Formats: sequence, structure tokens, C-alpha cells
Amino acid sequence: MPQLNRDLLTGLLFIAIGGLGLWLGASLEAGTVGEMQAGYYPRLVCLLMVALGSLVALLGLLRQGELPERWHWWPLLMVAVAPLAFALLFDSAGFALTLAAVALLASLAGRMLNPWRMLVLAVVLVAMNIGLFVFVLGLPLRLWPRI
Amino acid sequence: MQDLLGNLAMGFGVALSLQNIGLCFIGCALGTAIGVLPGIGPLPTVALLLPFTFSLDPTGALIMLAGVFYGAQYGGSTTAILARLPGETSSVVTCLDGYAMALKGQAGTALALAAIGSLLAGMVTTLLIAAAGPPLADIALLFHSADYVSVMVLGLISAVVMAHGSVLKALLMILLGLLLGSVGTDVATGEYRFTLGLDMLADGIGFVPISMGLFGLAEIMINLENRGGRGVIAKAVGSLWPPLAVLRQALPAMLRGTAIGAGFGIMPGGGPTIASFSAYSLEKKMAAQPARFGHGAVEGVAAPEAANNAATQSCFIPMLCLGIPPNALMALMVGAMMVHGIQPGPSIITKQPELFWGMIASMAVGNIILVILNLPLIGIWVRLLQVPYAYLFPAIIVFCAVGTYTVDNSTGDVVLMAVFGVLGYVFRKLDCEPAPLMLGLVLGPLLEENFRRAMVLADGDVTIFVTRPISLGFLLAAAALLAAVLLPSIRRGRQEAFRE
Repeated sequence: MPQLNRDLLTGLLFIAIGGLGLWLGASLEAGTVGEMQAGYYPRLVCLLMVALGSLVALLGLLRQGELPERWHWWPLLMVAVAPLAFALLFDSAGFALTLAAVALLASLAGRMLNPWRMLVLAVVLVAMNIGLFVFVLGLPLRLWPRI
Repeated sequence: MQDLLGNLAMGFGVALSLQNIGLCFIGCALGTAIGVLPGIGPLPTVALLLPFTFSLDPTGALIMLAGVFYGAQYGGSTTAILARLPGETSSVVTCLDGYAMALKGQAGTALALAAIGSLLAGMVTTLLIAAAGPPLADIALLFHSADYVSVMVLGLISAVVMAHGSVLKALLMILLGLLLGSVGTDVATGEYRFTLGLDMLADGIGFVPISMGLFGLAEIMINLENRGGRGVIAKAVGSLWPPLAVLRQALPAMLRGTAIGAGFGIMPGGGPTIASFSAYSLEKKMAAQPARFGHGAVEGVAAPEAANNAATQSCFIPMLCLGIPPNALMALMVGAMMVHGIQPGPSIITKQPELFWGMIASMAVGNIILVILNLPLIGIWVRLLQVPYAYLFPAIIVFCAVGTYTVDNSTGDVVLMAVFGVLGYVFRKLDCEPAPLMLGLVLGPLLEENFRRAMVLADGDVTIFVTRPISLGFLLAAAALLAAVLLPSIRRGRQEAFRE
């Protein structure tokens, strides 16, 4: 039974990405070498990726490789969720409240601060960013929620 | 010679305007500050600060970004010496002897050597750029699109060879970068490619969300896993004036480091990291008693510091003169220039001489600013080092989100950044270096454009790449590099160079 390892997983990931590219770009016309259309170059890149990905996967199957290091889901999740919250909230909640939410979610990722300190940090970060982006750089960002 | 002096004078005229000195200073200070903070290297630093330069004029913006780049590079060395924390990979070797010196109470001497070495290397390399730039650009003007394709292939292959870790994985990351670079409207036919029906992708994927995600967010995710791990900060800095005997010992090492650094910086795929490693191993080989290294050898600080600063500056040469970034950071600079509507390449010297010479002169100014920032003001950076990561990383995340948003006022870009943050984490778990991806992303559109043009001109005849002598030369060099790295004996040597 071949073991899962980093190389095998890498190969499979890139075969999947290359395959996805080929599938998404299937409707693009390739044309000929002398007269390339929009699809020629992306298809070439995807095919190379699938070929090379297969090679890496094959080598991974043959060799005894290491498994990926243990995943830590919490920081991964929270560090990704914080900017997503920005994207979700910004248009309706305005700059100040959005930043507060992002700062709180972000500091949750570390699980190092008590709630009181998190709150203080959030207030400081909101003030700093408003000062920098709105007052110093003068960007036209709406500060408060739309009523 | 007359020309050179005249051009430099013009450059200093630009660089020494009050506004540009100010921008250079701000760039260096911000770069140093962020470089000192653990876990953020020059690449995310430049990416983070990019949006701030959008409102400036192009010359000012590039002067500031260049300042951020070498400031961040330098900040990494300070932490390497004082806390055994390499701010980024190019200062890893400085940790060995720099921190050893700091433990012996000679932190001040080590910092001074790093500063003097960097200043010397920076000045010499600045002159080199000024002298070598224009002739190189003249040669580049002879290039046809086929030659450009080949030189880019050489650049990408060298990036693979120089990256540590698996060659095949680096190649895969480059291909992914090339693919991401093809997203958006096809220039030749106007067709949409891989836009998934989203308007925001019609202009392509911006490199700011990708680099912030891959380098900024992913870095935090990894750092939060291995919490703690902070070394003891050397308390007493000691005298900043190195004894004369030490200086005499260090000077030849600095000069050798400068030569190595300048060479590796110009090479496609090279850059500060490989330069500092090579300089360190050369010093160790040349020393009468190699056993001193690792226990506070003066040359072990002076040479790699000179090398990494020389490489930091000489890697601007291929970027400015050929329009081809030799490493991921220069790829980011190319992106920054394009945001300002400047296409780097051979014509930049004749078309925008103020920008070209102003930027070069600003590097000389920046090197002096760095010394001022880093010797008398060292206390500030020591204090900054003590900011706990628990407060630092939420600030970085907030800043990444706002920074990415303000580039294009697009919340979609912020989502994209989060996606690439997760991808960056996955790549790291799979031992895939993200830097080659950035290079592919920026070079991709250029590569495709020149490839298509070359093929149209040659009527679909692919042998054009081997019948044109310039192109053939580049391709042979690329093949030789690839062959060399795949041969087992050399591979072993390369692994040794990256160890320690």
C-alpha cells in the first residue's frame, strides 16, 4: 500500500489545478503555433503542470516520503476569517466597526490575550488605521454604518 | 565617464530634493521597523506598503519602495545579531557569528561591522549599477521577442535552481504563477480567460492580494503554530566603535562579500539570500582557523552583510535594464512600476532618465540614511523587538485587509487575499516555496506576449529559439543550470550550502 506523503500530495494538488485550468479554459480557442488564440498559452501551461505534477506524484509513490506536518486548524481558520469579515462587513458597517470586528477576530486566532486586552487592542488598531488611512492619507472611506 | 558623472549629477539632483530625501528616509525607517519585527521579511513589507505609494509621483514612489526594501533587509540583520532572529532568510548566516559576538558583549561591534559593510557594499554597487546599466540596456535593445522569451526562461529556471527545496516543486509553483498571470482579458483577442464570470477578474488577478496572502497571512498562520521560540535579546549593546584591529580584519572580507553579492544579485534567480550564504562559506573556506566561525568570527558578520546589501542593490540592474526581475521581490517592484504606468526595460534609461538616475542616486542616499538609522538609533529598534507577537499579528492582519482593499477599493481583492493565505499555508505544509510563484505571476504576461509575437514573426517556426544566437545562448545556459542541479554530486553541494 503506497503511503500518503508530501510529494504525492503536491503532485495530486497540481494535477488537480492543471486539470481545473484545462476544464475552465476548454471553451477558449487554441489556434495554431503561428497564430495563437487566447487558449494556446494557458493550455500549454496547464498541460505542463499536469505532466510535471504526475512526475512529482510518481516519485512520491516510489520514494518513502514524510507526511505533511500536523495542521493547526484554528489559526488557519481565524486568520482567513478576519479578512473575509472585512469584505463582508465593509460596505454596510463602515470602516470603524468593520476594523473592530477584524481586529477582534484576528486576535482570537492567537488565543494569547484575555478579552479585556483584546478590546483595548481593537480600539487602538481602529484609531491607528483611521488616523493613517482617513486623516493622513485622506482616502475617502466611509467611517460609520449607512443608516 | 563624462556621461556617467553628468548622469549621476542629474540623479542626485532628483534624489536630493527635499521631498525625495524625505520619502527615502520614510521608506528606510518603515522598512527597518517592519524588518526588525519578527516574522515579516522584505517581501510582505514591500507588498504591505505598496498602497501607500500610489498617491505619490512615480519617482518618489520607487525611491520610497526601494528604501523599504533595503531597510527591511537591513532590519533583519539587526535582529539576527541581537536576538538570533533572522528577520528574513538572507540574514540567517549573520545569526551564527553575529549573535555569538553579541553574547560575548560585542553586539555594538557586530552592529557596526554590519553597518559599515553594508554601506561600503551599497556605495560600490550603486556605482556599478550606474556604470553597467546603460551599456546593458543598449545590448538589450538588440533583443528580439524570441530572445526575450529565452532570457525569461533562463530567469525562471535560475529561480528554480537557486530556491532551496525541491526543483520540481519550484517548477510547479512557477507554472502556477504563469497560469494565474494569464487570468483576465487576453490582450490580443480581447477574450476573457478564467474570469469565472467575475468582473473583478477581467483585469487579471492583482499581485497585491496574492503576495499579501501568500507571504503576509500564511506567515502568521505558521508563526501562530510555533509560538514561543524567541531567543534571548542581548541586553548590553556595548561600544559601537569597532577597534581598529577588528576593522582591518573585516575590510577584506567586506570587499570579497561585496564582489560576491554584486555578482549573485545580477544573476537571474539570485539575490541577497544566496549571496550571503556564499559569502559566508567562502570566508570559512579561506580562513586560517575555520573553527572560529560560529563563535563570533568578525569576517562571518562582515562578509555576508556586505554581500546581502550588494545583492539587494545589484538585483535592480536586470529589473531596470531588461525589465526582467531576477527574483520575487524585484517582480513586486516591476508590479509597482506598472501600477504607476511605467514599463521597466531598456528604454527606461532614455525615456525616463530622471527616474532611472534618481533611483540609483537615492540608493546612495539611502545607504547613508540606513547607517544613521541603525547606529545612533539602535535603542529604538531594540525596544521594538520587545513588542509581543500577540499584539503584533492582529495589527498585521488588519493592515493587510485595509491595504489590499485600498489598492482598488475592492472587497473582492480582500477575499482573494484570504484565499491565497490559505493556499500559502497549504503550500508550506507541502514544502512548496511561494517565491517562484510570484516570479511566474509577473513574468507570465510578458512571456506570453513575446512568445506569441515571436511565433507570429517566425510564422510558427519554433526553431527560431535555437537559430538566433542570443536566444540559443540563453537556452543553453538554462539547460546547463537545470542539468547541473539534477546531477547528484552537485545537488549534494547545494544542499550543503543551504545547511547551517
